[in-house]
Amino acid sequence: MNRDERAGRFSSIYDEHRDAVHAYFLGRTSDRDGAPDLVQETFLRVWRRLEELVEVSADRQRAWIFTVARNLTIDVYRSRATAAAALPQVQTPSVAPIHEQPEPQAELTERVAELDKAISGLPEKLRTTLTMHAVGGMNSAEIADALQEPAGTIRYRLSQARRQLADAMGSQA
Amino acid sequence: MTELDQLLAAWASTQRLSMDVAERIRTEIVTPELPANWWPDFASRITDTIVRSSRIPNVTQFLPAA
Repeated sequence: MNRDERAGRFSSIYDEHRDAVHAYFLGRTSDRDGAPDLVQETFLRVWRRLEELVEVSADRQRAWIFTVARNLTIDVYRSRATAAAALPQVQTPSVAPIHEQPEPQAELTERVAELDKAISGLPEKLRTTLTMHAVGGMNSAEIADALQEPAGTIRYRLSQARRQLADAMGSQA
Repeated sequence: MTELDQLLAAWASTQRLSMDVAERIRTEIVTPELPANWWPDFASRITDTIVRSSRIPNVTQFLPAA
């Protein structure tokens, strides 16, 4: 493969999986600013192993990519554990401030901020599954495939996540 | 569509990877890296060029033909 062919093959894989991988990191780490760096790190590994990856099916590609993503998340947790011992945690608001917005928009932004807080408070597995579904646009079979879990488990987690969010928001699941 | 669905859709739209960021990541990965020795090679070529252009010409080539 020459450089242009490599770039073309890479772009196909990147376009196919980048949103799902980003949603996965968002769910696992709750770090909106750090998730793009992890996406880049994941796809840098894709670039380096491209010749092997293009030889396997799309399902196997996804499985390989998410294995890399899971390993990177473990590295992040390890480095966070080290950093937490030295630095205080700073919580950054992940939804835009509501100053000077029209009333209905401000109300929606406020509700979305409440939802964001409620999602951050979900158990990690529920949060990751929900984020992959809502942000990554993945169905339960695709999430199950990526996380190497039964599809029934994923459906259960999605319904649990919705129920907990509905309780927190005073809304219907 | 329930209120929760609407809120989830609004929330998700604030969380997605923007096109700008997605393209920056793609570019940073596929853009060729400079080889590790690019600077010494480049500096050496500049030096050679300067030396060649400032070399004193051979006087004999300016003498009238015998």
